[in-house]
Parts: sequence; C-alpha cells; structure tokens
Amino acid sequence: MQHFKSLAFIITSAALLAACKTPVKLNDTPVADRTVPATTAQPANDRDIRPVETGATDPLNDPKGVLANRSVYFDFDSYTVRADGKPVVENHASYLTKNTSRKILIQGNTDERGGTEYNLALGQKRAEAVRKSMNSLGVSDSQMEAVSLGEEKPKATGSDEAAWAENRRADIVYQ
Amino acid sequence: MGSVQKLADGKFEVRYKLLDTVKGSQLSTLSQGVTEKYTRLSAHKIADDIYQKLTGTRGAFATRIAYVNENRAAKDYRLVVADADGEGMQVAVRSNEPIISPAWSPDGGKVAYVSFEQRKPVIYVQNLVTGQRSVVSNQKGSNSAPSWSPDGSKLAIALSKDGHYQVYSVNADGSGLRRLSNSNGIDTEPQFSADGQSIYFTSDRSGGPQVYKMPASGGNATRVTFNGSYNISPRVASDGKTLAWVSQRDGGYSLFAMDLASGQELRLADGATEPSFSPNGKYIMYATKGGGRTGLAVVSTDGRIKQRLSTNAGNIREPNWGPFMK
Repeated sequence: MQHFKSLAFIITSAALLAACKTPVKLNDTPVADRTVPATTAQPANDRDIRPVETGATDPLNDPKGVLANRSVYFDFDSYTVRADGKPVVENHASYLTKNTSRKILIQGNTDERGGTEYNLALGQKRAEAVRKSMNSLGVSDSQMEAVSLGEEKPKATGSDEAAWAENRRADIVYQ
Repeated sequence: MGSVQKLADGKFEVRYKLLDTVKGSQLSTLSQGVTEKYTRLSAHKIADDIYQKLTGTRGAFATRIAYVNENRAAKDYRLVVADADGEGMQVAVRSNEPIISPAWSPDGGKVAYVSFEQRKPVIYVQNLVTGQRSVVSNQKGSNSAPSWSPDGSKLAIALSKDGHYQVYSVNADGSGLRRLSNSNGIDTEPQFSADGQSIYFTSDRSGGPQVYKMPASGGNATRVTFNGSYNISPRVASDGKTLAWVSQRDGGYSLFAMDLASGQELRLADGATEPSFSPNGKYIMYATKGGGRTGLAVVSTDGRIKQRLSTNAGNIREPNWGPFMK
C-alpha cells in the first residue's frame, strides 16, 4: 500500500513537472502560464478617472508662482548668470524637463551704451549663458532658441545706472 | 546759368550751362524734360555735374540715403529713403518692431535690413520699387549685419547659429550659406572691400572689439586697429583708400578715418556712431545725439567740412548711403 502511494506521488509529480516544462494542453490554466502582476497597460476599467489640468492650473500661468519670474539680470560687461538668476534658471529648467513639448525663446538685452550690432552680439552672449545653464540642467536644445534684442527693446528708458541695470537682462519667453 | 520752363504736357524742361568765365569757354551743358516729381533730381544732377567738372570727382548730390526713424514709445519704426540732403523722404518699411542695419544693394534697387518683427533679428532683402521682400537669413538664433558684395551676388552676414556670433556669406536669394570666420569670440559687422577680395569685420577675439580683415572666402584674419580698447563698425571707401570706424575714447564714441596705405589715423567727429561712406568716398554720414534726439550728420573724409542734416521729429539713426545710380 505505501509503495503504491509513493509511486502515485512520483507519477503525479512527474506529470506536474512535465506540465510545467511543456506547452500545456489542459483545460485549466496552469500555474506557470498565469500572467504576472502587470507593469504593462491594463485594459481600462470603466470606472477609471483620468484627471485633466486646464490652463488655469498650469503652474506657468500662476501670477504668484515662481515661474512668473522670467528675467535674469547681468552685471556690466558680464555674460555669466549671477547668483540671483540661478533660481529663475532652475525653476524654468524644472518645468521644461517635465513639459517637453513646451518651447521658449530666450531674448538677451544690453543697455544702450555702445554700437548697435556689437550690442546685438553681446545680448546674444547673455541669452546663450541662460540657454547653456538650462541645457546643463537637462533641458533639450530643441526646446530653446537663444536670440538677441541688443539695445533695441529696453525695458527701462533713461540714461542712468538704474535703467542700464534693468536692461542688462535675458528674458524667457514661452512660445 | 540755367532755366526751367513748364511745357505744354505738364513736364518741366530744365536747362543749364556751366561756363568758365576766365577761359571764356563752356564747360558743360545739360538739358532734359522731366515730370514734376523728378525736378529735384534734376537739380541734384546739375550739382553733380558742376562738382565733377570742378573737382574731377563724381558728385554725390543725386544719391540717396536710407535710415531708420523710430518712435519707441509709439512702437513705430520706419525705414526711410531720402535724398542725400535729407529731403524727399519716402517710407520703404513700416513696422511696430525695430529695424536696424539697412544696406543698399550695389545697383540701388534693393535694400537689405534686419527686422525684429518675428521677436528675433532676421535679415530681409526688399525690392524698393516693387515692395516685394524675402527672408535672406532666419537661422536659429540671431541674424544681422548684412553687407553686399560689390557685384551684388552675395551678402556677408553675422549669425549666432553656432553658439556665438560669427561671419558667414550667403547668396542674395538666401541659398549657399557658408561660414567665413573662425574664432571663439564675437565676429560681426562684416564689410566687403570695394574690390570684393576682402572682408573687414569687428572681432573681440583679443579681448575687446577691434577691426580685422580676412579674405572674402574666409581664412586668416589680420588685425587693423591697435589704438584704444574698443573699435567697431568698420567701413571702407569705394576707392579702397580709407577705412572709417567708431572708437571709444575718453568715455565717448568717436568717428575715425585711417589712410590704409600709411596707417595714419584722423579723428573726424565725436559723439558719432553708425558711419556710412558716400559712394564717391569723400564724405561720411553718421548718427549723432543732440537735443535729446538722435539725428544724422555728414563730415568730409579730411575732417574739414561738417554738417548736421535737419530732419523732422523722431529719432533718426542707422544711416546707409546709397550707390551712384544711372
């Protein structure tokens, strides 16, 4: 009797093992074939809700949010992003890496002193400085275009240091 | 001696004679029938003729200039074409965004300019008679400083497309873009020499901006200005003998001229930017500030004659002197 049980056990085990290795022809789903808990898309449940953010909740449009600040200022004869400009660069870089379909124009400016065309080139250096900083934070070049307005579109009129400081600036403009 | 008679068909017949009273001979005579619109041009051509007979150099009185008249507060920017004396203004382009760096084509029929209407600098070429225009360069980044080759087939331009401003050439139809300069700094403001063989340009490769010269096909550049730490805006006279540029001295910007053979410099005017040679190389027009506005002035290349052009209200800048026309 014992002998028979053992034999039955062996035969059953063998059958099970055989079943695990080879394509199954049994009616019920064998253990080996059960679907693993999904990392791939599961069919939508008709009770699912997918949330939508309208423009009103896009952080870019919050007038009190950090992204409302879109200007980076520069010292006289300087083309590196100042310490007070780094948060602006970081905030927008963060937004752009999360929203890869958004594009920006980075417009560099100079104060009014100097030649028209040479100032266009200096303004370009300021725009490039911001672009490079964002690039190093992971923003793709396909999302950015650095251009210059030189001395042509000053934000502050006047010929004093306060006006000049306001105009030594790069602006981030969303397209 | 001269006379103007109104003819039956509404045109004017303009006649003049230039007499040498010492020799008792006739130096020149001119007679033409013109419509009222062109009577001023007739007068200029007579002045040119007198100038040429007396000095041996072709007169520039019948030439035209282009300049920008801007009212920033009103966002009104105009590219204006006028006679060389400032009269006879006509608007070629009107925009609500800035226009800079106008450049007449050698045949006087077109003007290249930089417009900011696309929120970045883009180079256009416009046919003055038809008003038709096309984009000559809108590469990624900034496009500016157009300068025509003497045969009108190409433009030298400055682009930031490779990450920093460099000098390129492009065909007048916008095809065939080629990089000409090669530095790690700013290279801009290219200007073809009169014989088309060289290009003068501004470069800050040595620290501050200086004037350099390179072959028109690109290649090694040689430095041209050595005095002062800020030298920009090179312009070459049509006879190839004189270079004009703007230098920052004593805290202000001054117009200088250099005899290219001797290297001798002459300070022509203070408070001067954006120079442009007359086509006969005898005068330089430039922008200058005074009375709270920017306006135009002319100085002779030897520095002896200086005159402000009286123009209407507005800020006038970016002059470009047109070529001789037939």
